Amino acid sequence: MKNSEKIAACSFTLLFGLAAFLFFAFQYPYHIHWQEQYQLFEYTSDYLLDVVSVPGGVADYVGRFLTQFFYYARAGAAINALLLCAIALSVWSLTGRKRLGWFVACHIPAVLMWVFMCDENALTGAPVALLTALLFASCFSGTESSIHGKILLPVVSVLLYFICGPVAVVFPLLALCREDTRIAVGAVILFTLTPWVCGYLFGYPPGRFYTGIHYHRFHNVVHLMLWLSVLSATLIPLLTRLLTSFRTRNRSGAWSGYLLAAVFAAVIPFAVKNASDFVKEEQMKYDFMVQHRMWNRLMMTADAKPPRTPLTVTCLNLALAMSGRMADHQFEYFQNGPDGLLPEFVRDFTSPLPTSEVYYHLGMVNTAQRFTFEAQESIPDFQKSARCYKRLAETNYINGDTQVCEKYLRALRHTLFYRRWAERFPQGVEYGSMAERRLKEHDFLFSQGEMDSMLGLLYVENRENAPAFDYLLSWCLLSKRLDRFWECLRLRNYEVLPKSYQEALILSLALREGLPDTSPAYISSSVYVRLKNFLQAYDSGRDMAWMQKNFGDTYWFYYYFRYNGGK
Amino acid sequence: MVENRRIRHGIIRVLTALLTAAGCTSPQDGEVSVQFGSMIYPDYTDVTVPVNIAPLNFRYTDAGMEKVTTVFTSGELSVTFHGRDVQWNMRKWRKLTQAAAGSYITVKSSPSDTTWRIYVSREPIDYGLAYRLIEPGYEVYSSMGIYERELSTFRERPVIENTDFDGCVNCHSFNRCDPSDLSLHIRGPHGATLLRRGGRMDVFDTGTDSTLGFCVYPYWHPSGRYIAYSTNTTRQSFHVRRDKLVEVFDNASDLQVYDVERNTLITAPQVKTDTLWETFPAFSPDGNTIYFCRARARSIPLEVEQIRYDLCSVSFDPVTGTIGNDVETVIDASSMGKSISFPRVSFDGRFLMYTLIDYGQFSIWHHEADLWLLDLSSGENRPLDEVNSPDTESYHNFSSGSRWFVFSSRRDDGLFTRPYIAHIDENGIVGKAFMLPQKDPWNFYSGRFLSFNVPEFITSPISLDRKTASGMINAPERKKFGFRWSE
Repeated sequence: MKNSEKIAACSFTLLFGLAAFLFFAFQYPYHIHWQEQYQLFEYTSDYLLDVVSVPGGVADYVGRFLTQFFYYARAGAAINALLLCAIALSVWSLTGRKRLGWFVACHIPAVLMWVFMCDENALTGAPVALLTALLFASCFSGTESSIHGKILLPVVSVLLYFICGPVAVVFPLLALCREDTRIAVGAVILFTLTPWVCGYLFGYPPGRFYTGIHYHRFHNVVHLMLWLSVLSATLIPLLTRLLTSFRTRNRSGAWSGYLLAAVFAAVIPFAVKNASDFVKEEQMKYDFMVQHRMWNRLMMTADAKPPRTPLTVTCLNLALAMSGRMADHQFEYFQNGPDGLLPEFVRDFTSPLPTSEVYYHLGMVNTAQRFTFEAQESIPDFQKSARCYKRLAETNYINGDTQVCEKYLRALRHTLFYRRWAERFPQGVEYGSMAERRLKEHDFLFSQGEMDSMLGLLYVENRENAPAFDYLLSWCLLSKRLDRFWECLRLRNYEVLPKSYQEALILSLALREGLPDTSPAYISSSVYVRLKNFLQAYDSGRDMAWMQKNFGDTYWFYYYFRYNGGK
Repeated sequence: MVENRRIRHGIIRVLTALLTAAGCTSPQDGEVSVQFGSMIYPDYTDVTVPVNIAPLNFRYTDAGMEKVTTVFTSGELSVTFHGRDVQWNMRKWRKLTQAAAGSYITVKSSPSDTTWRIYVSREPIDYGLAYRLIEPGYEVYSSMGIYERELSTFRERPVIENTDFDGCVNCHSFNRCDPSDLSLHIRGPHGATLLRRGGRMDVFDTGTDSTLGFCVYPYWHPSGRYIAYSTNTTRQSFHVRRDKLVEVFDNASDLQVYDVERNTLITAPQVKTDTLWETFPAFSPDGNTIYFCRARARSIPLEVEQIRYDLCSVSFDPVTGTIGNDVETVIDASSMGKSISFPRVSFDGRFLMYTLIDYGQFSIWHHEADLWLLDLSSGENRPLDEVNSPDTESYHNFSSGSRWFVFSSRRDDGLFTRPYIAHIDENGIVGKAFMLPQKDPWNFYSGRFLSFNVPEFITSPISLDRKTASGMINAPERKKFGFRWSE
């Protein structure tokens, strides 16, 4: 390559890495955090042995080691970008061709891997495994003609299978284009037989040894992009070697390189955007803000773009309650019914976590513990979660189960980023008030259908538990049970009723006895007049869009146009 | 009649106390303070162990005990350890226990100069234990499986794990501790009951049109021809109170006996009633009686705390496979405001051990759960205070020789179930229980977030062909049980 091409090549890789970094750091940061919270990387020999004791375990261990730094989104983005650049450069080191076009083409496996990594369940162990296999192949190139190389090729192939898993197939395949193909074919056959043998040695169905155990959180998912990345990482160096006889002039090679770079610049954003899921990114952002109690930031986010999915609505409602704004402002945002307040338990590892945050803040400690525990147990690749361990330590501590709490803390002390928290526990956290919030006198078996009774008891036992009361009344309103709302409202005295309650009360009155001629004392005149206008518009058959534009911030709009489950 | 029984029990208790005081039994001889026992983990002070048990490694947990010296002595043999961790060399441990067989090892911990004993019974224990390892959770399960542990070493091996298939394994059962007769239940998408008898392995769909559903709690007939099962429609709910987490209860349950040879499920109206719930069957060692628990049906979940199970029995004719007509109440626990679960008869036919709780049947989630012992020859029924703790004692079973029993307990931290083993002699005198030994027990138990469920003795390795078994479980084919009413 000429100097200008070298500069272009370096610039291309730098720009590629920078683009990957910027994408993960600023477009996909909550995916990075999300990855981190579904693992618990412990600096213990037991953990190490547990992870590396299955084929592909070493790459998985390194992947988990790197994932712990995803605690900081930008660190995670940098790690991802570096991994992608390293894959591209490793492929380049195997080509033996010094053309800009081939250099750019060597980024294809990295681009495909990037697309794979847009999946929130893609594990970092996958790019680590591919990179490791490529590095081994790179180190091995040139030694193939030596007697050591010939002996080592099949041995290293099998060894690499145990280090990286089936992705390491690139290593024996790349050896095929070398001088002694008999040894390479033998290595490929040996590599192919290794997973079959593993089927008898390890406790997984044999098929999993051919598709990899820890590349994706779901064992049964064989991700096309990952394997296309592996395939391209194999084919590109093979092609370059096969095409050595077709020499091209430098100039045309350089121009084809620039052209290919331009195509890449056009295709990468499209491919990555297509593979990204920004709805999930938004949900992860809300979950992150709830986890870190960023109530004001959450509401600012909601103001900028109102949440529409059940999970984000749940998070928003919690933020409203925790900042004391639920009673006045809840119906200014989209509401999807009582499920948006306290969703039912779902057997997965994502949605129970924000729900457990709600129960935790309300003082339903056992329920918070259950949802957290179940979320952790549902993690498909059987990992543990640092976030869940923290919460389980807290709930057990509040429940007085200090020995169980200590067990979780002990595990957290073996981590890098949670050690300090565990060592300081329970300093600086409001566990006393949390313990006060929970039920002490009453007991009942949790029932989603009797949420109003449970929330009512929480408030009756502790009048300071304002979020429980807000949730109680909100539950009645979202369920459209106005009679129950009347009963529950009497549990607390108000000098001035919050806006939503005024709206619900006057509506209830209007539904039972018709709209009074004058505004009752506890209803502001503006609310009274607005309901009058609302009912006139409703009766005149105004469409939903018009009603939403003029009354979308009222309980009445919710009552007449949202959530039919209660009617 | 009842008064006579009480007097008889009273006389037996007095005699037992006198025998104990006279030094006829060892465990009470060298008792050390409870406080000292709590300073070492696991508490092995004054326990009775079998001569072939794995080394009792332990740690002094109290701060300031880093420089403790521990001297183990038996006869002229003496072994000294320095430091808070006592970790044995297997050869030295074997030598010492062999020397102390039938007597005891004296242990001196200095500088506190506390002396305590480890009683070494000549009666060996079975080859190992089989148990399920699972996180003590609610409804969802992560990685789990059935494991076997060799009791004379620290070796633990997986028998089958749910990485082999998508589901959960439970209710493993063997015939008098012999793992060649095996029943294993699998829940989830690949739900089945795996049976192995005489080297043949089959996978069954145990539900029939005439029964409530799948067979759940098994117990092998000593002949190996029958397995008593209960069928339970089990549900669980969750408390909100601080000291209670989970409530597991049945909405209905019945009893039946599976004839392995004829592939037929046998039941009878007297053990299959809508108004009564029958569960936890167990054959007597002669195979002529089925013990089980029975409760009056209640409205669920409103009356959960009123469900109380009595211990009952019904005769069984192994020749014809006939369930007797008369159900006898052996212990009327409900009239005492209590409930019974897991009846297990020692294989010499002398004792029946069970778990007593305030209500319900799923005792592992009841902190008040304790073990009780019914002497079937004398009728004496007593709590096993020698092994009970303030926390849960639940599942239990006897060794093949009946001189040892294993039970699960949550005394360690209130949540994670650990296996404990205790000696019981032919007179029903019970030694102090010891926790299943581990190479590094402190780090092992504190770092393991798994409960040991349903510990069962096994007389030899289970030797399950894991690949074949998981292949059968993953395959869609299931054999069906036949059904007939008992004559």
